[in-house]
Amino acid sequence: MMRTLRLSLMGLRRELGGLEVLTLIAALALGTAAMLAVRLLGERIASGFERDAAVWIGGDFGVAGRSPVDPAWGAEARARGLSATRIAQFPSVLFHDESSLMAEIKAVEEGYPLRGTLLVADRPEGPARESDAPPRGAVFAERRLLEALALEIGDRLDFAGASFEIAGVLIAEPDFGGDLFQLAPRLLLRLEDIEDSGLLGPGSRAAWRLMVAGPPEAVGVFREWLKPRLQSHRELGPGDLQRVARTASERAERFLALAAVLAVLFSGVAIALAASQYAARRKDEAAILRCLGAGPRRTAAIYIARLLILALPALLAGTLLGIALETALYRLLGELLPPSPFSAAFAPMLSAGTVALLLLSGFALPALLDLAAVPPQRVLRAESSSPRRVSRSLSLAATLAAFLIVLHSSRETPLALQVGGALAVLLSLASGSGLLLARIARAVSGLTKGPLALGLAALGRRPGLLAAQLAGLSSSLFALLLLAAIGPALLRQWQQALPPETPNWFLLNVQPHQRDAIESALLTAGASSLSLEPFATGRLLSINGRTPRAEDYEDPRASTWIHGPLNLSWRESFPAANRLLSGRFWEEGERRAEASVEKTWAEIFGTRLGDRYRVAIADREYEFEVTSLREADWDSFRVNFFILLHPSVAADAPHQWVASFHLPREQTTALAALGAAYPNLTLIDVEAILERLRATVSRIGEAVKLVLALGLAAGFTVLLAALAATRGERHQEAALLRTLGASRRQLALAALVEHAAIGLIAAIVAAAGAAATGVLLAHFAFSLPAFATPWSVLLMAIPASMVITILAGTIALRGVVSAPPALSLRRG
Amino acid sequence: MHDNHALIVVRGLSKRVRGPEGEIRILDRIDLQVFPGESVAIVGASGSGKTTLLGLLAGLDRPSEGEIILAGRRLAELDEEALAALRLAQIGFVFQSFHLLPHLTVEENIALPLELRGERDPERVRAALASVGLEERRRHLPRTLSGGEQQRAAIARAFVTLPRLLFADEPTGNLDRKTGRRVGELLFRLNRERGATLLLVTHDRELASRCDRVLALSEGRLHSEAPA
Ligand SMILES: Nc1ncnc2c1ncn2[C@@H]1O[C@H](COP(=O)(O)OP(=O)(O)O)[C@@H](O)[C@H]1O
Ligand SMILES: [Mg+2]
Repeated sequence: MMRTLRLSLMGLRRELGGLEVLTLIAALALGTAAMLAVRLLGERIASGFERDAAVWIGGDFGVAGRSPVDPAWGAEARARGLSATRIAQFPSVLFHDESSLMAEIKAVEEGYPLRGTLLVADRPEGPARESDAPPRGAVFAERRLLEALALEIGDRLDFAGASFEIAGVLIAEPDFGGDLFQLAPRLLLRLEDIEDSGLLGPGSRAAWRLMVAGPPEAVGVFREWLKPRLQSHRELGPGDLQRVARTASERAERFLALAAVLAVLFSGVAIALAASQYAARRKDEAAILRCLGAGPRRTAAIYIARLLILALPALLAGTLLGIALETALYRLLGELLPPSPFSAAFAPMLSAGTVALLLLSGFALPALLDLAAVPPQRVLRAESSSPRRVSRSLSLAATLAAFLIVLHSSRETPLALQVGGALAVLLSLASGSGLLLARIARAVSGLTKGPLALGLAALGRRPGLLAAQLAGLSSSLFALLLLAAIGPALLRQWQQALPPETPNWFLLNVQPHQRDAIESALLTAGASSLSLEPFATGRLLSINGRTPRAEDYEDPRASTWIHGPLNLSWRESFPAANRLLSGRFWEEGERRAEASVEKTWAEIFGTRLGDRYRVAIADREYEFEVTSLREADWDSFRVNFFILLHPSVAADAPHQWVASFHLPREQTTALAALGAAYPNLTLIDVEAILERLRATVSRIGEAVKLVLALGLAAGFTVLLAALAATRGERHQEAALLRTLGASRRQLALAALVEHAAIGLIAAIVAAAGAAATGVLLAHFAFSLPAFATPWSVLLMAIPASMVITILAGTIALRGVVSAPPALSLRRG
Repeated sequence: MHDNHALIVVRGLSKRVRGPEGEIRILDRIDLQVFPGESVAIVGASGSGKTTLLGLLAGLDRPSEGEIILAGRRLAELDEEALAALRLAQIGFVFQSFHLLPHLTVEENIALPLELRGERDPERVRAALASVGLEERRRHLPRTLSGGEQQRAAIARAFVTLPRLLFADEPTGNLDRKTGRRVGELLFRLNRERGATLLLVTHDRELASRCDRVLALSEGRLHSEAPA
């Protein structure tokens, strides 16, 4: 063992200067770093939640739901010596003078926060201090909110029919609202101040929580007391919260993982090329070792040990890079994620280690094992025929390792298969175009002259390597273009494609007696596309006589509607922006206990025509039959309901109205007057929600781009390795050409032509792929009638890509064209 | 002398290879015995099969027919690992193209066979360096040495383990005349001092003539030549 190690170490230092060794180290470091960063980030989020679960949920125990929490529950908890607070949270537009802003209102009771600390500053730039909940009649507001509404500390803000004093700048709340994708600025106030305003009625969009903290036994007893009383509320627990966090952050994590896989696979290709090259150059050495008395096993052990030793600095660099990248990602995702400290956990390290091991064993090891099989009689003959091709065992092992890497990093097999499939298509398209290009170059080079012909001929001579280079470069460029150009363009054009009168405001909580007055007020203010829908909240009692159970349905959303409030509406006529799928919608004048169900609901619950539903609204029960299925166009920004009843079924049930309408932004002040006159109304700014969505998407996009940049760097190592593999041949070619009279300048120009052509083609393949994907996405995912491809951005990839390939060529082939012909001949 | 005293016994050795125009018979039913301490030269035209024979004797290649017994071991019965172990224990090599490892210094190259045996003996390495006159060059990389110096380093590497057998394939073939003569001197001197058995392949008649026996290879057959 020690003997082998000593032999591996001999001369190792002098190997470090070799291009293939450097490429191998760089590729391994990049692949490890990408995987480590993404895993560390996931771990940071998860472990933050686990460790500080009580702080995150804001107490030791809690329940949550969409309907108001009975104040008696809090009183009961306090009577048992526990601290308790009810929390209601909902979005609403705030007005001040001429400005308006969509904010997230968080209403808490005295005693908040139960766990963790609330940080508040007395001036926008002032230092943060610990604080209790704001006193009655006062609010804490985030700085963004103050700036948008031109408010200062001490100013007054009208909201919900009352006037509040701005008492502090909200810096950080310990508990997390539950929605990780919440970007609207917060306004923190006392629940007691708005409870009687009518804002928090059953039709509001408020999320309610009751949080409790105290000695574990007392909490446990209270929990047992509360359990039988829970109807539309769920228990919150660390596990539950973690699930919330997971599902929300998973969207980001999944894209990041995808980008990381891309980077890892490119590293793999680079490693395979570098290792084959390394092995090809050491065939003589291996044969000498065999001849001097090292057996095949010993020879293999020497090279494996050397590989592992070389892997050490790569892993170290990869770890440092990975940690730095994770920090950058965490910064970029910022408010999308709950604040949590860096967590140097074992699991991500293990995961990155596994990937590194797979990279080494799948992509490098087979080439080195081939060395042990070098016939020793090679020492006797000056065979220079060292096939530089990637051996069969290598490609087999590499394919297997690639699959394992994809599997390992996507956790779920179906996703792994999808990702693997998509990558395979992408890579084969790219390498296919490489093979095609090689043919074309061969054909065209005959028609041209001088350096151009030389460069094209060089391109056509090595189709396999060209394919590898194109695959590495163009797929990472493709992914970057998709994110940087296509994604934003799609979102922008989708938003622009909305009809001009698309509702941009929702008004919730309109009471039946206010309906007519508000309707006319809105029309007077100039609202268009106005629609008012009745709206009742009920509970699902039975489907076809059976009480539905969440565990009977695969879709997790089923549970929300089984346990939570159920929104119901009714109308005489078929709703706009809907399409009848099956059955028959009632006509005016008919009277039957029937309902129309939307496709999403029908898919989740397996609803069919003729199904019988029983629901409770307040304390009355209603029964109806499903007579039609329809599909709503959710992009229409109209108010849509999963279950629409015949008016005769429930028109007498307690309900409110919800309005959707279009009103130009300049007329927003009219809405302020409406809000002042009817403090119970909640106004929702649809554009602000869209803006928030866009901001979220772009944040995630930025983070993914950062990981993809690593992928591009790995693609660059593929270029380097592929070019380095040709160094020997090129030396000979260059020498030959120079002997035949080609000048150094001509050879340099030929190399430039060759590398520029690779860059050009890679960029064209990537841009074309991105453009095609954009058109497909526009048609199938966004239902856009036409998609204006952002060519100007896509075409910027061309010069960028050419710079990359020319740079790689310069690094990998330095000295080749300028080597004196005689020297080259002797080396060849 | 008798078979079982011989260090190398070869009986009916043939080597055929598949060429582009059918099978080529390189060696044809060769018999040979080499005794301890002896020096034997194998001469013949280029392409006559000298190197092929040497490779078979050293277990670097497998014969088509016939048997080879080296230091009492039947090579046919040994697997690659055992053949390597046998080479490590018994054989030193000197090649026409030197075959020093390019990433190792002269000193490291010479220490290599010792390292493979798990022996660390800086004294012996130093002595080997001195015996070929390369003390000054011990930290140099092979490519910075002249051909003669490289071959002297290779000779030091071959002798450092005190092998019973030394195989040399055209050791002077890549050197100019004068340097070749000096390297030849060195080879014979060390062989004399260390008492190794030398099997020397060369087409240099002058070098061959300094051996105890000269065998000529032609048409795949081995013939004795009278010592000059
Ligand atoms: N593996 C092989 N395949 C084909 N021909 C071979 C092989 N090994 C040797 N030869 C041929 O056998 C003949 C003898 O080669 P070699 O032993 O190298 O001769 P020498 O060393 O005497 O010059 C040559 O013609 C050579 O081309
Ligand atoms: Mg020969």
